[in-house]
Amino acid sequence: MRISTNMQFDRHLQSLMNTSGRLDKANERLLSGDKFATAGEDPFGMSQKMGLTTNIELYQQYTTNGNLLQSTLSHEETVLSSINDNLLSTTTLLQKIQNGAMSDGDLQDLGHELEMRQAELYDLMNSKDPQGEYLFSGNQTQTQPFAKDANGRYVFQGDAGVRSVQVSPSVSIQASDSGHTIFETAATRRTASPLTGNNNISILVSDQGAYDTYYKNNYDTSSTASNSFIFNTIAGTPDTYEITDSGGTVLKSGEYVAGEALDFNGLSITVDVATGGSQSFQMDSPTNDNILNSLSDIIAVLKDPSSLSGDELQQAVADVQTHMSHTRDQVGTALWQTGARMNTLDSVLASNGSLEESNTEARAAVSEIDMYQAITDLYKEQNALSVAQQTFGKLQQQSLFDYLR
Amino acid sequence: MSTDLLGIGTSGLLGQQRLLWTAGNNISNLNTEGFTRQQTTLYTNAVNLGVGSSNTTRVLNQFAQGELWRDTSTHAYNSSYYADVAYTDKLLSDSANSAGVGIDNFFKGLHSANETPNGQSGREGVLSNIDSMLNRYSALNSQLTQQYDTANAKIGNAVNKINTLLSNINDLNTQLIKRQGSGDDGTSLHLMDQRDEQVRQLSEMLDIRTVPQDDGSLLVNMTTGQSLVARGQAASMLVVNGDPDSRETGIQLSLNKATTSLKQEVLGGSLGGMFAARDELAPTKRQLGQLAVAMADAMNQQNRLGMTLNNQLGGDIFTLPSSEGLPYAGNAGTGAVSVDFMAGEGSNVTGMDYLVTFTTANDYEIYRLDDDGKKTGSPITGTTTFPATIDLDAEGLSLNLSGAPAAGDKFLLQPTLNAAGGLSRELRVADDLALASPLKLTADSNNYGTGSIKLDGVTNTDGSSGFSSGSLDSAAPHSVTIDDSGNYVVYDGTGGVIGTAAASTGGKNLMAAIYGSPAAQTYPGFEFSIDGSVAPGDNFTLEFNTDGFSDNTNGLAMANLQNKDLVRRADSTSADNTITLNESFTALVTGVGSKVSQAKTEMTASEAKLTQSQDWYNSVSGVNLDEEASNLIKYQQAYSAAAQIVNVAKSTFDTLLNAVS
Repeated sequence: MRISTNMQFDRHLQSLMNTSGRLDKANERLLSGDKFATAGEDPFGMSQKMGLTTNIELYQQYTTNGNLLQSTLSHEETVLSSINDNLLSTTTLLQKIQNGAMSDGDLQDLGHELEMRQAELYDLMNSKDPQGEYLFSGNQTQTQPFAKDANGRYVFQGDAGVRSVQVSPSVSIQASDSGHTIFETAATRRTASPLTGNNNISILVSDQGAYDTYYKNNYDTSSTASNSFIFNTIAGTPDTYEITDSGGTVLKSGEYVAGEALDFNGLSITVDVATGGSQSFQMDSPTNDNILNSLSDIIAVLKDPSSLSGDELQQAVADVQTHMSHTRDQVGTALWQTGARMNTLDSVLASNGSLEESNTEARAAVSEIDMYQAITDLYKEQNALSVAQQTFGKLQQQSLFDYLR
Repeated sequence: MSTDLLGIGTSGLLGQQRLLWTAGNNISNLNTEGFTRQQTTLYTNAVNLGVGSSNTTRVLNQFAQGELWRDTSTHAYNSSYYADVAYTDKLLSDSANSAGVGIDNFFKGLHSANETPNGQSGREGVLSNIDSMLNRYSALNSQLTQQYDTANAKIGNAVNKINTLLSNINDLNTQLIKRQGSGDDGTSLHLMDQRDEQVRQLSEMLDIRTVPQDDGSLLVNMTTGQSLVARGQAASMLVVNGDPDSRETGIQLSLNKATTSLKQEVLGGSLGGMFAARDELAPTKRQLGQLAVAMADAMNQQNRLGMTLNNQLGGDIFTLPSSEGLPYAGNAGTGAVSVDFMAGEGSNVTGMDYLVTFTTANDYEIYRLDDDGKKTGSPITGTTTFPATIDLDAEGLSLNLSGAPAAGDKFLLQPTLNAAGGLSRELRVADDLALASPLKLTADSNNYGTGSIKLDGVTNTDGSSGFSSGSLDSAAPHSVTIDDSGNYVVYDGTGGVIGTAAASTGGKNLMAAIYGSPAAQTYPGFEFSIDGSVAPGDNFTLEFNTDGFSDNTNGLAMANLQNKDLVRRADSTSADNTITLNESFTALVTGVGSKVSQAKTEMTASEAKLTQSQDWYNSVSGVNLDEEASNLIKYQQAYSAAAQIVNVAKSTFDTLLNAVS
């Protein structure tokens, strides 16, 4: 084939330009660390890179969320365990009251001590988080959750709302608990009392556990009337009694001795009527309250111990003790849940971390260069360029004109 | 005979001189653009002895030349197309410009705001993220628009250059015809070279076909047959405004006062490449607009379902842009069409243009147009009297018709073309970000049962819902009480019973149980369930979430939009025809990327082909210095020999003279 002089030049020029172009690309890759700079160089790779980048960014955000949540939850845990400690020591104090050897003065001292504990508890229940938001007021974090109303009763001012934090694409973890759930819905002591006008019957809860079980199984919230009982006395030898429910079914019967206490499902019932007479009583309707109010009640009693009989004192103490135990159950549940949330969070964060890592690795595999490869490429292209340059010089010396002298 | 020997020697001298001139001319023009190697042929004298005439011609293979021109056109098309789409590709892939990063940052900001929903810093962060995201959208949009304008300017320049080339070729043709038969002084050959170089340059701009004529001139046609250079006249090209979109310019060819519109696809060359690359911009812009609108609408709708820091229902975060339909030049009526996006239908918005045609003054047909501007699918038809509003729910568009159109009037709608640039922030203050749920649900603290009430979602807060501004209507559900049979009785705000859900529902989806599904999604516009065991008499209340500022329920739903399929994939009727915002942006970037990648492959191929045909052409018509050097020696030696003939003739004559004297 005939070769024209310009063809030779053009070919060399072309090969020089191609080689230096590749060298420039190799250099750019080495400097940027990226396999490609635009989607045009590798559309599929770019699509994967963008998808993975979004995922990585998301996981980083979830990790940030999770770290903040961790501190929120551990703060709540700290406050809840302080509350738990407080409740525990208050329980111990309450048990002292039942010690029969207590003098009125001792009781008054106990009352004062309880008052201090109550103040401490009140303070803890109104705790704030590091941002200055109330911990237990639900979503009304600017409102103090517990406050005294005009009657001196402690009322809940927040709401039942809770906040959640997204910590992975599908997991969101509750970040707060409302005082409504923890404190306000603690059941008070379940009791029984005579119906109005039945003055010859006295009822005490002698075995709270047995009564609670009975109450739980039988209390009917739909109709108050069905929660009442009739204590009938029947003359005979010996005199007998029957306890019937509102439907007339006999629940218990036996020998009747006026004024003698008898046991009925954990209740100690003492009836003193002439044979043939009857008395009615009922299971009291269930109420929930916060423990602060029960503490107020017992403190008021202890400050003036002489106003109550021993039995009445015992009942008052039983009221607060039972309520206390329910409250401690609820606080314990909240503590347990907080711990469970922190555990979940830990494992989610760990899996986020490894997912982020594997996404980052995948992104690197798709879009980042292998350093050794890139350096080798650079040297290779450099070499190619210098070879092309040398060839160019050599070939251009071959001109016939040089030999014409 | 001796005088004859002198004559023979002289003719040889002149002949060799002629050859030396040709070689010298070839060497001198080595680097002259368009120069074709010349060759001189000597002929013997037909009457006497010695060299007769000489003839100088260009050494040219017309097939090689034709192939070179065709390959030049193809490569010019590919490289100009590649250069332009590669620029778009760079623009989209640049992370500093990337709308994808803007979207990511916006959602990250939302997550931070959800950490402390009543804090100012997180909310302000969301606002600044919104602004920076909008900036990215509008920067990208305006860069694409600029590129469109640049492409139009380049097309204008190219057309000017083409017109100059056409008129040059015609001038050179005319001169060649005039010089026909006026002797061989090499000028004609140079004129041909010049003309062929002009034709080569023209082939860079356009795909052409040439027809050589006997008189030395060359006719130039488009590949479709239209004459560009005819005998004695040249056509001229004109850039004309598009109809109805004036920026979508086209090309008209006029010859002899007859004008024809040229289709862009037949142009070829770099001009064709510019048009092809320019026409890739509009679909990219529309896709970007579609993404922006889908995102903005979804955020608007979600923000409306929440409660702000002012105890009000949330409003729109973004103002969706509206656009005017472009009337065609031939419209006879006074009708006008403007297009709004329908609130809440963002995921139905397509990245397409629409054509509205009035078959009568009251009957309309609306067609979707594909990326090439062709009608696709069957039209949406209807009848209306003006003025009117046509809601196209399935397209997410609302058309406002005004004036009075005449039968046959047409309008081009480009709802998404500049939507990415037209989007603005409507939310003025960070307080108006509705992160909280508008509803507070509480189980009474004295409930005997342990059931809890939880919100399943808020679906509607507008006038048709149970919400009013900052409150829950008294007719809407306010409380649920468990009756003696364990049924869920729902009461309104004044104590009236709205309805009862049977105990068998287990307290699940109470609104759907009472109002029906899906009616409950509109009124009361929320859904809730009561979980856990309930006892007769237990009470649950629903109220407006006044002051519940630490609630982030709606904020979480808003942040979760990042994982939701919000953008319509294409004109697909399948159930799974939507993709997430990030997926949509990735599709946009890689769509352009694939085109660039393909264009690069084609460019490389056409470059190789061009090199091949250049080599063929040059191997015939290019100058080789070695060859010329050898020729020089050859001709020089022949010249010396011829000079020797003259010398011999002289000495022969001298010998004769001496002999005589």
